[in-house]
Amino acid sequence: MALVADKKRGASIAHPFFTIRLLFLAFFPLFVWTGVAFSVENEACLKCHGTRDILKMSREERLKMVIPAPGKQEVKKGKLTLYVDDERFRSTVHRELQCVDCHTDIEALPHPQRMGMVNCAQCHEEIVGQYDKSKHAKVSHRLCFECHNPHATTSFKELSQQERIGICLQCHKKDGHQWLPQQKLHFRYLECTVCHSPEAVKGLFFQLTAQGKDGKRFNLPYRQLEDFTRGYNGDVAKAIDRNGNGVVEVHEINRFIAKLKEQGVQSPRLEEKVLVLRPYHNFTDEVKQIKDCTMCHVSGAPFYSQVMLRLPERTGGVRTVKMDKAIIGKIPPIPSKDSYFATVHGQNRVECIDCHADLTILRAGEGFEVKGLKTPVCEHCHKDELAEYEGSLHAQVSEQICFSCHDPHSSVPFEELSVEQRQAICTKCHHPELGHDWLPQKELHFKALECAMCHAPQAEKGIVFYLQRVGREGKAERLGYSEIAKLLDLERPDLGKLLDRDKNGFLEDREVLSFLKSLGGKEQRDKVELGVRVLVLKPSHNYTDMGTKAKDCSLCHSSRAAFYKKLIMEIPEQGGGIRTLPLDKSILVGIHPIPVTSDFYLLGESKIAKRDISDILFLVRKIGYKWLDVIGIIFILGGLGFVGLHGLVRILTLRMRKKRKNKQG
Amino acid sequence: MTLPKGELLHPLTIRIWHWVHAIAIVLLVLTGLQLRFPDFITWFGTFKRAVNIHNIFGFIVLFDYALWFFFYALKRQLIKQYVPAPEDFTIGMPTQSAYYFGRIFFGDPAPFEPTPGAKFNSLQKTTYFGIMFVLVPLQIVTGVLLWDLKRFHPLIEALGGVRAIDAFHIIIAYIVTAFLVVHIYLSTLGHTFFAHFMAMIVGYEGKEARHKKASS
Repeated sequence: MALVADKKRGASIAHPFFTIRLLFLAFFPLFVWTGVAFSVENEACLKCHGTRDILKMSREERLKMVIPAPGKQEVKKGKLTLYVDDERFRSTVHRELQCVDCHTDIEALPHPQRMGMVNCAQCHEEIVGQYDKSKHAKVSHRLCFECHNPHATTSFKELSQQERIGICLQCHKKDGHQWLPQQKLHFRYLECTVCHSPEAVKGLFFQLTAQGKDGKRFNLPYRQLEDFTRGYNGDVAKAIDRNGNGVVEVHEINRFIAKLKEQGVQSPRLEEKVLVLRPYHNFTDEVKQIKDCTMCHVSGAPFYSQVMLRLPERTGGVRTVKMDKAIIGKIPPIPSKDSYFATVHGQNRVECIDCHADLTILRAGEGFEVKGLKTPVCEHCHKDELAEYEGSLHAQVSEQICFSCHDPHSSVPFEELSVEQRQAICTKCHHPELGHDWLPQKELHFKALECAMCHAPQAEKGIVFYLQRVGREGKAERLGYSEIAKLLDLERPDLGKLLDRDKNGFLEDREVLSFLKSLGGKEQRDKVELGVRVLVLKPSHNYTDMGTKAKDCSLCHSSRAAFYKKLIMEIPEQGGGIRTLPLDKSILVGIHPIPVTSDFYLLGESKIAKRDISDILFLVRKIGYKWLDVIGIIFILGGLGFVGLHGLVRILTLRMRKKRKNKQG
Repeated sequence: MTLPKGELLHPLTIRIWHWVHAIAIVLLVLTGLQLRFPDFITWFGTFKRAVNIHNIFGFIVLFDYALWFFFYALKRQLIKQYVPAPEDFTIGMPTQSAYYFGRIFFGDPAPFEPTPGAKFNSLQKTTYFGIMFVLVPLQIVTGVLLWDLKRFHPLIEALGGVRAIDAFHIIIAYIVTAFLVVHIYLSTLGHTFFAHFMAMIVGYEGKEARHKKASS
């Protein structure tokens, strides 16, 4: 390290003239030797600075110990003191350095009273460069060591969130955050520079936490994890990352947490924080920039690109390991502004303040303290639903409110929810296995139906048809717009027009069948057919439980079932939307040349019903005068039939008659 | 049963009438089919041509029918030959049915022998009555009405409109066509395969057959 100091000194001598530089090179070994001779070891420094006595000494006493430098100005030293805690210093990130590496003015002891400022840029050139350009430097004229104590600082990586916040809090107060909704949560999960240093690289950091006896959560220390590292050389990361690929997968962490639980660790789980991975020393207080919530509340927020797991090490340090990004889906999502506009609320231009009435103050531009937003007001728009729900058994028994079941920040239009997604709304709280033992073909019912099909008797139900491709293994896959266009070999086809050829806004079965034929016309490996689902078309929020009503099988398994009243075909449109057209019921009953609904049989549609009689009469009347031809052809066929039959018997009995004639003859 | 040898069963007038009638009916059926199913059948070229042919043969049938009617009426045989008597229903029709559907296959003799005074058995009599007294006149009347809708407009309206007239015309056409098929077949059920057929050409049933029959 003395070498570094000598190099510097040498350089300052050699710099101006070329000849001098040459001389320097020639005498370089000498300089090195003198450097070593004059080097000052840390022990020598710490003889005075390593004891607290130096703090108690008077100015005069201290002046006796150095070479006075009258007239030279004192250098700012911020909160640094003359005392250096050796033990602490040895644990810092600077522990390998010699005092004189930074304090380059010292060549011999005693050193001069006044020395030049430590030039951190020797090592931290980039950071100092960033800082010098920053507003912070221009306004506060703070120097590095006014925020960071070089005698005590650990590596940035190892600093906890609170320690990092502590750096700023040395000077700043938390005031000025009144505008910020959910202040407490933001302070709990973020460090200052996540917002105040826009250019810093951020990441989503997970930590293993447990619940203490006082009910507070704490980060699990190495000591508590040590038992689980047996066979992994005491390495927690290796114990978790069992496949050793350097990335902690979701199942790996789940397995580890389960193990912790088994061993009696109180409710272990991951807790996430958004932290800075690589700091950038250009800080801003630009309100405009920071108050833009979309910096973080978007699915493409910068910290999602770095997902890490922070683990304690045996040495007392902290280690970060990469984590599979799939874990993001496992944590409660932050209401995200960009994905919000894709939701049904966003599409209908519902703004934050429309539901969060208390946010109106924010809009007016006045500061306010949000201690947690009040209950959002769904009834502004969903008045009927709420009124219906409030009178229902569900509301009386469970006291759940709208968003216990529905997430308003990610809700998609009801008609776009799959059966599984609809079931998931109920299975958040209800266990489907319970209370369904009476139900014959339970699995089949669960696979095909959503809960509300039986449990919401007032909901409007219907049968929904769509196009699907059935692979060789029998796996059905719904066809999207682009796939259908490809099968048709057309560019941007209007599928609605192609299907509804007579443009009457109603699909007859023959229209659907001929469309299906045109899809499967070319040599297709997979079969294209009509998929079909019985679905709730318009939900009712009045749910019933035990369902004496639901247990009546003939509610569905008869031709008077409610869903036969509405049959619709879902036609994908260019751009991702879906158009629906009503469909003729006969598609379910007719005997068609191509398989239409190979996996759909409800027991109701093929039974004759009262309505069918009127249908038949209608059909008879519809055929009308054409019956003349039908009857006429029957007459002719009758005549031909008689002739054919009579003639046949005549031919067959010919021999018998001949014999008889011969006998008589 | 004795039948005077050489007695004429079908007088020349009737034979001529029959064959004119036969040709006209066949052509009416064929042209009628084209008029009914113009999408499938184009035997007579254009639709208009088929209409013209149909009209011509329609009138031929009209005059031919008149010939038949007045011939029998003047001979005072119309009622005797064509109108079934009560015994025809009680005895004749069951016996004749039993013959046609059973005994004929065993080679039993026919229960009825045609004579110039009574040419038709009970079944024939009843059928021909329906055809010649009900269906053919109706067909002629409806046909004439349809021939010139404008002229007969008030009458057509009084009878229930073009649709009703047309419906009758069509359904009778089908019945007549079906009858035609059976009629031709039944003509083969004589003593020999062509006996009746020949009778309608030469006027006499086969001499040999008749002789044999008379002796047995």
